[in-house]
Amino acid sequence: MKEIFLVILAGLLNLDNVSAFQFLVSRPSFAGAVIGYLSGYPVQGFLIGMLLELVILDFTPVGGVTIPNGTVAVIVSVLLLPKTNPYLAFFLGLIAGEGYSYVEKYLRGFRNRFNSICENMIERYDFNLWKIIALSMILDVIVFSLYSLISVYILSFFAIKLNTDYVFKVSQMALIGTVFITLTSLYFKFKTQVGKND
Amino acid sequence: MISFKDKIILVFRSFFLQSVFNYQSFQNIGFVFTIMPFLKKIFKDNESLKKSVKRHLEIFNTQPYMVGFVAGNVLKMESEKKDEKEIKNIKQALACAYASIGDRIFWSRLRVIVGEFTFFIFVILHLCCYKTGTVESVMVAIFVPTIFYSFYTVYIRYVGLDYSWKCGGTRNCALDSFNWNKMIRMMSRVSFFLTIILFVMTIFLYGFFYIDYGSKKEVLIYILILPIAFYIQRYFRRDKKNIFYPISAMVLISIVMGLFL
Repeated sequence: MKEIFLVILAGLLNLDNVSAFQFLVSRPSFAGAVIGYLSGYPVQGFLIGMLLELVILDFTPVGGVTIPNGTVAVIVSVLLLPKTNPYLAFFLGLIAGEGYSYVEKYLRGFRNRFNSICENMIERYDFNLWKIIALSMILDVIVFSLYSLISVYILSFFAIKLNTDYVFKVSQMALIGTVFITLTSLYFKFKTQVGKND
Repeated sequence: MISFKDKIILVFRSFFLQSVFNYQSFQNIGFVFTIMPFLKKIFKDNESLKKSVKRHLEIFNTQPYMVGFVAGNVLKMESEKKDEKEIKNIKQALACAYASIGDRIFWSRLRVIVGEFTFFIFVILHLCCYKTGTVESVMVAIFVPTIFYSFYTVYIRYVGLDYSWKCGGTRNCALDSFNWNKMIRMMSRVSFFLTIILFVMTIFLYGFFYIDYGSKKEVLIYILILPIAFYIQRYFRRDKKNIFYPISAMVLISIVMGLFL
């Protein structure tokens, strides 16, 4: 029951990602800390979120491009924490986050239908567009929650199976390497930008 | 005239610009939703309102924080009953221009700066101020940069609306309201500087928490991770591959290295 509540909460936070506000409360470090706090892992949730954020920052969401979803990644990682080590949870969350970018792409295609709904409303002189906005956001939350919940259940199976000393060491090394890969990437990205500006 | 109350309503509605983001017409429904209250003020009869709304339901795509710069201009032209084709052309031209500026400022730079500041605040509070509990450090670290960023984005939405209403009807409307180039240059430098500090800080923390402990073999492997990560990032980035390629390579290398531990 608690998992369902947390997943819905993450779904609401995820609205900030594309659908509404864009105040950055859906970024992994923020969502990770909030969800982690509610599930008893505030610091681990924040740290996993922070590391996921470093990976996500490498992508730029311009021109309708779908990027890995950090909120999905962090909710899956945090919910996997009781079942496995945080290093493995990070990678499993990242897989779920990347998977959601395809779901998001499908959702954007699906929302094309709202155009004809909107046109029909306008034809009938019904200018109350709140209905469409609300419907679209509810759809977002439902899809997000279902995807996250299913991902948690599927990945829990792997998390439990892979919970060995060897996997612990491997995922720890891979995570350390990932942090330095993302930092190197950010360094060269901004070095190029500063070079271009000068 | 556009009143203060109108502006607040427009800014609030602009928060939902991307709620119905779709591949057919992108932010069209969100844009119509944003300007609807003011369109209702301009077009008193349903027939002309319907005609105007239908025109604005065409493709629209810009950076969400910059929508004010387009909306103010469009509403000014609508209120002056300008030619439909002219409104459409100026709207599209400005949407493209502001999308480019907004993407470079917010998505490429400011978003990264916020992330880096979150990490700095946490590390500083957690390591330097021993009296601060870890959970409190986390909460301060996530809320402070987010609040600053949110205020700034709301300010840009509001100011954009204000400026573009004043100069509405021109193709380069409000493009000179800020020195965008200077802003982008400054943010690039700040991001670069913060990334270097973050890099140094991470190496220090890594050395402090990981490398000091364990057997000689473990220490050697942990030290080796750094140059390996650096090399595989450069190798894959040469071909402009996304970050999942070097990360996958790192996982594979770790699987092999794990056999030696």
